[in-house]
Amino acid sequence: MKKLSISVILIAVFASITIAQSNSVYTRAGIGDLEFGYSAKMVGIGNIGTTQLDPDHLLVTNPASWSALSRTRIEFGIGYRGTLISDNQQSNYTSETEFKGVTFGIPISREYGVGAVMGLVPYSRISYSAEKYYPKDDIIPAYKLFYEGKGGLSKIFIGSSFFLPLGFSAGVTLDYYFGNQDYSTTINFDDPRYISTKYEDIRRSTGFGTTLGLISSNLAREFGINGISDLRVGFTYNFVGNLDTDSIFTQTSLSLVDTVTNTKADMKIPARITGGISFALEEEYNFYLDFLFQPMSQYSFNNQPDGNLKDAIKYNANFEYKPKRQAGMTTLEQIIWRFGLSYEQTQYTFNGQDINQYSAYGGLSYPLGIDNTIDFAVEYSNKGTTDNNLLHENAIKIYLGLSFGELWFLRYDK
Amino acid sequence: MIKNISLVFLSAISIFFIVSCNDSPTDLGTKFLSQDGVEVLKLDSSIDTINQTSYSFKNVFPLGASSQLLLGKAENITSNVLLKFVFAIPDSIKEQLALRNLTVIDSYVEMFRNYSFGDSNAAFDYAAYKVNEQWSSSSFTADSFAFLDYDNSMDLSFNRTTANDTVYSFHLDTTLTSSWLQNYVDTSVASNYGILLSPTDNTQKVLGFTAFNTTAENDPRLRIVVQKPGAYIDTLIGFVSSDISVVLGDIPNVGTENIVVQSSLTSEAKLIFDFSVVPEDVVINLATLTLTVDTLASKTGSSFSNRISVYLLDDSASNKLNTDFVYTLDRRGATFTGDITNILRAWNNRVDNQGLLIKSTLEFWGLETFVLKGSNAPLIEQRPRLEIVYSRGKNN
Repeated sequence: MKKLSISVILIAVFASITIAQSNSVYTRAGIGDLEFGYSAKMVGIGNIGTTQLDPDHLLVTNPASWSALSRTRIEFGIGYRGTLISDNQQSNYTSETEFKGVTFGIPISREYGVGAVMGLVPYSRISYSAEKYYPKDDIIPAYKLFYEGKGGLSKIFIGSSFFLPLGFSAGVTLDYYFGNQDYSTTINFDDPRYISTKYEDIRRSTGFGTTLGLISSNLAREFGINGISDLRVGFTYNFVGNLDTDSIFTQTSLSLVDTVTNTKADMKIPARITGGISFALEEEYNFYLDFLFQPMSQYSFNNQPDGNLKDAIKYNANFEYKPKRQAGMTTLEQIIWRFGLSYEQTQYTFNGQDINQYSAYGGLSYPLGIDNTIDFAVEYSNKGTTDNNLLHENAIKIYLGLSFGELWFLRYDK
Repeated sequence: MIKNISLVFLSAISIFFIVSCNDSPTDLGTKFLSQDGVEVLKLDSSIDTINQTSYSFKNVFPLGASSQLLLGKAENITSNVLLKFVFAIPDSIKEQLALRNLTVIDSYVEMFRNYSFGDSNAAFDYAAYKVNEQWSSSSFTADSFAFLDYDNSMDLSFNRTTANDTVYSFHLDTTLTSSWLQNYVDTSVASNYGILLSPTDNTQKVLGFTAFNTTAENDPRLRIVVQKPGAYIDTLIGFVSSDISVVLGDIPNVGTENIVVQSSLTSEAKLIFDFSVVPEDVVINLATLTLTVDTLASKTGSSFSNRISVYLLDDSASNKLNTDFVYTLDRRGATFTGDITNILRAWNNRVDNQGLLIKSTLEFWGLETFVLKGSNAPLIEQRPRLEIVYSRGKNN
């Protein structure tokens, strides 16, 4: 209980902290960069992990994974992201650190695989800033336009897992999506006599969705495959209902705020599908192959599609070394190691060219006693190209997370 | 253990935040933000079609609050002065006055010049007349003058300073000043409504004198020399209690192509631009008004403020001003130019456009006559020029 209290305090301290912008202006399209995970553990496995049944962490991709939950658990993550954005002429380094999310899970019935989990995790992220200078001409004085985008979508979810016949696990969540997408442009004139003005388009979205997940039983055992200690397939379907969005366009100069338009519109976010297969050798060496698909070409806001969006597809190949627990192991021997590669056809397309991303990532979980870990992950990604006047991003992500587990609701025999 | 780990974790987080540094924003990728662009546009009444009208009119005010008294004749102006004095006399003298033991042997007024309008070497003379009725410097105007009861049959002044000097004085008929002293002792036996100073017909300039002021420095001062036969001679001082200039005249004829503003008379001008040419839902970033001066027709005095004030009219019919919006145009060569952005922003934010009122900045000081090119000036570039730089977001 004390550990959970400390966790809550840590979360309260950092929950509202966000610094600077770290992404490119590509995040202006649609709802920005899609976020798939929130914790160091998830970054270490490529942010998907459709088939993972991990009793020591709370994964949010597949609610069926909570059937393995054995302890009351709270987990959260904080991440640093630094990005070197380049075009043919110049580069610019930006970075930010932010609280990524928190989850809390309770195992209700191990016999039936019932685990209840709730949490707050990111769904998309908009984060850019740019500035352009317009020199004086015969008519118009010199000025700068400062562009800034921030915000995104988050979701609060509550869900549960349960066993199905044949050893399958299933899970379902109720998701509430919310968030602001704030796009602003500020005009600043060189001549101080001119009044600067900030134009701001704020979209406030809310709506519900659900996630359904399925993880198979150990197929290696079912089919009697020798040499493979664990073989599973998994599948998730994440549906997002149309989000009610208030769109407010204001112009602010001096202290005068003028609301130019105030409209309501529907934001349609296509469903996200993941699939995966995993196998383990000698119960220690785990291999995961994951696939994610989200047809963002069907995204629309106020029934208007975004011409810079296409379908997002991601492939992961991950390895995790999870030593079998044995008596007398040193702490170092208990460390869980992860490594993976991914290729992502992002949802962006600019100047007729798709924006793709390659990533390599790795991480570890350092044990803090039996049920707790401190998690660390690093991801390097290479996104886009400078060809065709496009932007290239070299990004490094460093994530820290804590996962505290504790046995609650013990029943003692008298 | 948990405590130690928490400390390590907090330290790591702190390092994360500390290293979250950024280069200054660049223009990387701004070409992909066209939907968030801002248009900056300009309207210029000398280039674009913005309908405008302007005209001058006389707007008479009481000039009692002015720090200056104007006396003389020049150009279109005849300016008179009303003065009234009060006394602060010791009781011993007051007793003698009551007993009528004192004789006024001389009385004179001194005024300090601070301004001249017209040819400084031109003739200047004036007369002093007894006023027979009460008047107030806070309400008396040029329009009241025709109804003023004063004795214009006898000039009560003599030994007047008429040549150029710093201090101007004139002596007053002692019968008049004696009556004022009697009025001081007993208001029932005599009156004291002051005097009217009027320029003589041959006067061809207007001089300005320091008026009543709170420091009593250089204000008009009456000195009355009294004698108690066989005993003493003393000088009593009359302090100005009310004073006002009464500036008479028509606004100068400047033709239909010009407008004119003149201090003290007072001539003002209205200028109305058709603001509907400015699109809705834009932000006015800067608006400047430029008025072209007819330098030959304009007349100024020995010292003046070379500036013009622009007001937002609340009600054009009653000339009611919105005093939240007052701006000054400074002289630059043959123009007055200034920033009137907030007036345009007010119109842009649904304040009714009743036009602009243009005045001399020191409207109650001097007789400066600024002749400005109006909306009917044959050369478009000489007409009142309104330049508006405005911006609008692409969402508009």
